[in-house]
Amino acid sequence: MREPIRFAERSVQALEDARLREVLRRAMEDLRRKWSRGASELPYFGVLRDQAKQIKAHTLLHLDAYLEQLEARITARGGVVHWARNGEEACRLVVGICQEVGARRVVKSKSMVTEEIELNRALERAGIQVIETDLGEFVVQLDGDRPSHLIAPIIHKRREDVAELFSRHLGTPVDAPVEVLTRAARSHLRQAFLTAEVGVTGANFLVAETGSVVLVENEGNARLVTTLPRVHIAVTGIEKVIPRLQDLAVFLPVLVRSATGQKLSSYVSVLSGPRRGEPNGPEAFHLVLIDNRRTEILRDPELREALQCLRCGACLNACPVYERVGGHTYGWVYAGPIGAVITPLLLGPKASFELPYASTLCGACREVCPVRIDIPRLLVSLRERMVASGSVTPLERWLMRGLGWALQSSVRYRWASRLGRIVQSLMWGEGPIRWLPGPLRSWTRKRDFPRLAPQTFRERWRKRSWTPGQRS
Amino acid sequence: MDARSEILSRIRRALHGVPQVPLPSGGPPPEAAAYRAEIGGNLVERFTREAEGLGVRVYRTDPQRLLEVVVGILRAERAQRVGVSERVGWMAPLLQTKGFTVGGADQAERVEIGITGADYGLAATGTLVLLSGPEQDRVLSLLPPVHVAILPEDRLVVDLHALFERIRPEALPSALLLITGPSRTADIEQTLTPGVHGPGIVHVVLVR
Repeated sequence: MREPIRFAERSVQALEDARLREVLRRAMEDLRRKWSRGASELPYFGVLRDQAKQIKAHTLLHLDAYLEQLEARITARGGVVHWARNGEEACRLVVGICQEVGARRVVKSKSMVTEEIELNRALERAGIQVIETDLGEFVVQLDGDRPSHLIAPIIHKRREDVAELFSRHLGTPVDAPVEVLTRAARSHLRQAFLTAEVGVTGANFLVAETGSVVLVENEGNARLVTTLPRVHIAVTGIEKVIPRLQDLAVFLPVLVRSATGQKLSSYVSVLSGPRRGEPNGPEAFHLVLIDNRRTEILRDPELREALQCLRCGACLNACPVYERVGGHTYGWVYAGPIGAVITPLLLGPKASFELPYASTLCGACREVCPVRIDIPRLLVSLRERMVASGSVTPLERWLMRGLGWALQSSVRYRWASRLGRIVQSLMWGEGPIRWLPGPLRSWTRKRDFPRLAPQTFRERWRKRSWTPGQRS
Repeated sequence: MDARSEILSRIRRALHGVPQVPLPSGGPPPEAAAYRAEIGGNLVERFTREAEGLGVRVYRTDPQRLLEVVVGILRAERAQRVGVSERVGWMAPLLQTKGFTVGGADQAERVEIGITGADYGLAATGTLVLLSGPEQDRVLSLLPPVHVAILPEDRLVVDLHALFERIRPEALPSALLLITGPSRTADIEQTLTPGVHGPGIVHVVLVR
């Protein structure tokens, strides 16, 4: 059984890390600026987002048929499709393929699903060397760290941290600038590409009509991973399928503009089966389709929408909570607003009951989501379930009941707010409320409690010196 | 039950009785008409502007002067070893007579510059489209630090919508590659750095 993720506790630690806050603040500002540029530059961006959402919604409701079509097309092109009920099965399949082809070294491009199923650990246990080749993921692997953002894995690190790490492992100067670090990674990893027998990738999209795996990237490492090794294994969730090749004309701009603000990423590879008469490219192609609780999410009409996520990271960049606490605070693979939804669904509520509360429900995530996932609604729905399953303290339940009672009648509400104001001035005078008694203390540990206004809106309305409809 | 049947039957159970959502018709949305028409009227100009905005050098020439332009690029890049893709294989002997060491796709890791053809160009984004095939390898546009792409002007189309109108799904090769500017990363402190894995320098020669 997994230890529960203590989001509140972890966020206190993160908030006390001044360096982390500074790094995150700068990075998030930059990413948000890029998003605005990408979203505003294309006049029909909103229309594309609506189309993307509808295509995703449609596909998920015919998921069985599209997966079968995908499988048939890949098989016809000489590829092999494998199905895995959970992460363990998926890892076993990948390790099995690697052993069958006698692989001793595997190169990987960035993939969140392989983090989810902990594929690297499984491969290493089988004695197979795994090398992450995305620059950020390479740093994460060297440092024994974890990615903290969907598309920018080392957003929590400074250049100095990377320079120090590379000086230990790659022999670059301790004060090396970014270009030198990048060049060192390039030449180090090029050797890995040329000697690995197997390349492992995720997938941004699967095209049912053509049996294609689509990879979106800027560095070129995914191209190398899918071109140089003899075998390409793509590992991905069943929700990644889209119906038609032409749907990419909708999804690529929507994904890329939301993720990095670019019009298109440097590279998009649409890969359909192993090589056929080409001088290079893999001789064998495998696709591992993973369920790992996705069918359970699909069964849930309230939460099904979460499966539409493109993993672009826009909701992380827009989120005031993520900006302050960073990705590691969410305790698992998927961070930010969408992580607060997905993690409880994939790990189960017991392991992550605090996560749906890791949001102010301000709605910024919904505004920027390329497929307009109503993340606040999903979070509220998860909170309802947590409450219904009894994961609230007696005090909380008592307070909520009292609040419900007071809000149900205007007379009660008026008297309650009057009483509140009396209590407030007796206990705290006219100054800010800096402390609360007993178990409520934790509210005021980091911030003041908001004061009730001296007059309610109704009282002010009654005393107004003008009548509605008349300009004051 | 094996994993495949179990997953598929779980999906069917999950979706049982759920009302359907129609698949939107393909093609560009009507709202895009004016924006796309404007690009369609200035394909060369728009492609050039978009590609140059990403740091790509764009040239425009006649078939007669193509070799001269390519040699100019090779000299400016101070390249000696050049990889030439089959698609533009006619160039290989001519470049050899100009004193360059010329190889094919099998030399991609050793050459300083890779020269390839491109099958399409997308004007809206300054994108090169390469369809892999017996004559179109996947490495000369990827392994060398510099990539030179030769693109006939009549292969310029507006955008992805226009591209997928021209490519039949059943004719899709094992790799369709979209290349938009040089290889780049911004992983370290959002600092944009070119050439992390693929070519850091890209030249496109548009041929009339």
